[in-house]
Amino acid sequence: MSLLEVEHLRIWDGGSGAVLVPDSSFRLSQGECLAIVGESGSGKSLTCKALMRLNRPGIRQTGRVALNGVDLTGLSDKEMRPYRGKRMCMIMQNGMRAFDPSRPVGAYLLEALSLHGDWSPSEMVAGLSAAMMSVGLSDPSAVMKRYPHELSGGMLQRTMIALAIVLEPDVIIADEPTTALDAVTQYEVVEQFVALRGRIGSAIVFVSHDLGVVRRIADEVLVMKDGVIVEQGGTDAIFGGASHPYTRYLVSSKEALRSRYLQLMGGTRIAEG
Amino acid sequence: MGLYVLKRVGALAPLLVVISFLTFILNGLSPMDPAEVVLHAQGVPSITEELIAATRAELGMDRPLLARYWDWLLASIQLDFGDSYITGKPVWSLLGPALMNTLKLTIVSSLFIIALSIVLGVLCALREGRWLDLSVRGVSFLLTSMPAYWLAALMVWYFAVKLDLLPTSGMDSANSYVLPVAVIVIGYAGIYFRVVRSSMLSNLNEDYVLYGRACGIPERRLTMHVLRNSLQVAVSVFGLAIPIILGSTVVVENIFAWPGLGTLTVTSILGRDFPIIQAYVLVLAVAFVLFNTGSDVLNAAMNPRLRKEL
Amino acid sequence: MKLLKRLLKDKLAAASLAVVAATLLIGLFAPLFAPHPPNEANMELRFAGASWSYWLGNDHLGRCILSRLIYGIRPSVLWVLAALGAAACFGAALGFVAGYFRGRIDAILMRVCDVMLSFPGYVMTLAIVGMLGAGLANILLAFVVMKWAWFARVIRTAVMQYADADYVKFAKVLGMGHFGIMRRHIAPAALSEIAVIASSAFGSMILQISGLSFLGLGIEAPHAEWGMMMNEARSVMFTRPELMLAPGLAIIAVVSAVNFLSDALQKALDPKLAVSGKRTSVFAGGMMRGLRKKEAA
Repeated sequence: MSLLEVEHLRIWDGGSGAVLVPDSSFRLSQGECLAIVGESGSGKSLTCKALMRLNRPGIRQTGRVALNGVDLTGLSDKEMRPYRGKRMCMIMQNGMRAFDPSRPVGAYLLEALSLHGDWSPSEMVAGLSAAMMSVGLSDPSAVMKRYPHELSGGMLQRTMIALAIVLEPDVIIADEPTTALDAVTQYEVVEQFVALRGRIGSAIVFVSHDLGVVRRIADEVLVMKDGVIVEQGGTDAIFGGASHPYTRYLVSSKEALRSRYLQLMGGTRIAEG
Repeated sequence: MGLYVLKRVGALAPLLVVISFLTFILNGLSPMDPAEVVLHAQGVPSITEELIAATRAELGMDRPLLARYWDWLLASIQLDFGDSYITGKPVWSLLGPALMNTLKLTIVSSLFIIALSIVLGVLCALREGRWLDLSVRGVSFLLTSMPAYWLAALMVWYFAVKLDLLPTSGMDSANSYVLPVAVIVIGYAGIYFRVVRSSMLSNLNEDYVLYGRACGIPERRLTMHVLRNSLQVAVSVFGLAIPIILGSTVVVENIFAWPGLGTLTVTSILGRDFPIIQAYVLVLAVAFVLFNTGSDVLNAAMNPRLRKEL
Repeated sequence: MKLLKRLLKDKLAAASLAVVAATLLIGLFAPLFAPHPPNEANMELRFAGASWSYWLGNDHLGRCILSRLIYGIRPSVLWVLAALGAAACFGAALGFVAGYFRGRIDAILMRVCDVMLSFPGYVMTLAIVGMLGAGLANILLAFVVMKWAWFARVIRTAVMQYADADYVKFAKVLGMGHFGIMRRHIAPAALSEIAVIASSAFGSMILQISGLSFLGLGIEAPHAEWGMMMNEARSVMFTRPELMLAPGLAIIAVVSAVNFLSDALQKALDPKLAVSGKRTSVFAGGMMRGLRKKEAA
C-alpha cells in the first residue's frame, strides 16, 4: 500500500466556480520523493495545500487524500490537527514570511513542538538545537532568540527543515522551498533536503519549477499544466524521453539554457547542480 | 529603543516651535484690528484713532513680531493665554474647564470606539464575506455618510423627546453622556473598525498563518497571534484618533449644549474673541503632535521590525 | 475612457456616478429645475405639508423646501467641488515641482507639507474661520489651505516614480522640455492618484461644510444650504422633526454616492484590489483609503 494516495482530487473556486484542478490522481510510497513541476499558476501549490486541507475557505476540494489508508478529507478540523505538523509537515517558499513577525523564532518552534509530543521544554530545546546544528545552523540558541526579520531567508528555510527533522513526519511537503533564495543558498538548502531523506526516511512532495533541482532530488516527477497532470513518471524517464510535448518543451528549454551556458563557459564541463 | 524615543522627542521640538509660531501669526490674518475688537467688545461708544493707538499699545501690538512671539510663547507655556476680549476673564479660566469637559467626552467615546472597532473588526475579519461581515460593513458605510448633527438631532428627538428616557442637553449626570457619546461612537467606530478589519485580513492571508496551521497550531491560538500583529497597526491609528475626536466634538457639543471646547470655540468665533480661538488652536495642535509621537513610540515598542529600522 | 467603461461595469458604481452627475447638473442649472424662487417667503404656507405645487412642503417662512434643496446644491456640493479643484491644482502643481526638480525646492516644500499635515483638519478650518470670520468663502479658503498638502505629497511621490521611468528618461534624451515632459508623460500617469484622493476627500468635505453651516459659521441666513436648512429646522426640531429629513437625506445620498464612487474608482484604477472578485469589496476600498491616508501622513 502506498503511503499517500490521492484520487480524483478536484479543486475549484467556490466563489466564481472556476475549476482550478479538474481531476488529479497520484501516489507516494514510503521514503520516496515526488516532484511536482510546472509553470506558476499550474496548480502545483493548490494541490500541495489541498493535501493538508490548507487552501483558504473560498477554495473547495473533493476527492480522496489518504495517508496510511486514512482519508483525510473526511476528518473534522480537530481530528485533522494532529496530522498537520506531526504526520505531514510543510516547508514554505518564503522563510522570511513564514514566521510570526512579532515573536522570536524559538518561541514559535517551541509552541509548534509542544502541540505534538510529551516533551519537556529542555528536551524540546535540546532536540531542536541538535536538528538545527545538523542543517548547518551553528548557533541554535542565538537563532532561537532572534526575530524572523533578523535572520536571512536561507536560515529560516533551514529552521523549518530542522523543525521537520524533530517532528519526523511521514510526509514533508515542500512548496517551492528554494525559489526565494539566491543561487548559493539554494544549493545548500537542496543539499539539506537530500540529506534529510537519508536521515529520517520521510517521503517528500517537492514542488518546484527548477528542473535542475528536481533532477537532483526526485525519484518520480509529475508535470502539471493548467491544473492537469500531463505526464508522470520516473525522473530519468522524464528527463530522458518525455512523451508529452509540454514536458519536452520544459526539458528542452532547460537543456537549451544549459548548453548555451556551457558554450559560453568555453565548453568546460560544469558539475551538474 | 531608548535612542528611538530620544530621536522622536528631539524631532518634536522644532515642530512644536513652528506650530506655535503659525498659531501666533494666525492672529495677524484677521482683517479686523484686535484693538478695535476689544473696544467694540467693551462697548466704547466712539472709537477714535487715539483710542485705538492707546489700546494697541496696551495690548503690546506695537512691538516687533519676534519679541511678541517670545513673550507669548513663554506666557503660553505657563497656560497664560491672555484675557478674553469679551468677558475680560483670563482665557485659561474659560478654556481649562471646557477642555476638561471635552476630554471627559472624548475619553469615554474613544474607549467605546476602540473596544467596538476591535470587537467588530476581528469578528468581521474572521467571518469575511458572511452575513455578519456584510451587514456590519453596510451599516457602517451608511453611518459614515451621515452628518453627525443630523443623527444627533434624530436621536434627541427620539430618545429624549419622544421616549423621554435621556436628557436632551447639558452635563448633569451619567445619563447626559449617553447620547453625545453614542453619536461620536457611531460616527467614528465605522472608520476604525475598518482599519482593524483590514489589518486582520491582511495578516490572516500572511504565510505565517498558513505555516502555523500547517504545523497544527489550533485556530484560536493562531487568531491570538494574528490579533497581536494586527493591533500594532491599529494602535498608531487609534493614537491619532484621540486628538481627531477631540477636535471634532464641536458639532456634537453644540447640539447637546455640552459645556466643552467646541461650544466655547463656536461662541468665540461668532464673537471674534481671538485669544480664545488662538489658545484653542494651540492646545489642539500640540495635543495632535504629542499623540502622534506617543503612538509612534508605542508602536515601536510593540513592533520589533520597526524598532530595528529606526 | 477605458476607465469609465470599467467603472460602469460595476452597477453600484454606475448608479453612484449617476447620482453625483445628476446632483451636479441640477445644481448647475438650479433655476431650470426649481419650481419656486428659493427665498420667496409665503407666511400663509408656514409649515405646510407636501402638495402638488410644493412637493416637499414649506419651511418656517413658507419657502419651498424642494427649491431650497435644489439651490442648496450650489454651496453644499458645487462650491466644495470648486475648492477641491483649487486645492488639487495648487497641490498638484507644487507636488510636480517638488518631485520633478527635487533638491532644495523639494526639501522646503515637503517640510511645509509636514507642518500643514500635522494640524488636524477640523481645528485648522475652525482656526481660519475664527480669524477671518464666519462665511462660506472663508470655509472654502480653509479647505484649500488644508487639503493642498495631501495632493502635493502624493503627487510628488507619483512623479518621482514616473520621472525615473525609462520613457521619461528617453524623452529627456530627445531634448523634450521640462514642461513638455510633465504634460505629456507624467501628468496623465499621476492623474489617477489625484482622482482617488480627491474623490475620497470630497465626501468628508461635504459633511464638514454642512456641519459648519449648521453651527452658523457658514453661509449667511437667507441663502439656501443644506446645513443651514437643518440649522433653521433645529428651532422647531421637537414639534416638526420632519423638516430635518429632506436636507439630511440629501446629504446622506450624495455623500454615500461619492464614497461608493471613490471606492469603485480606486478599484478600477488598481485592479489588484479587485482580485477577491467579490462584490462586497466595494466596502473594503474604504479602509484601503484610510490606510493610504495614514501612509501619506
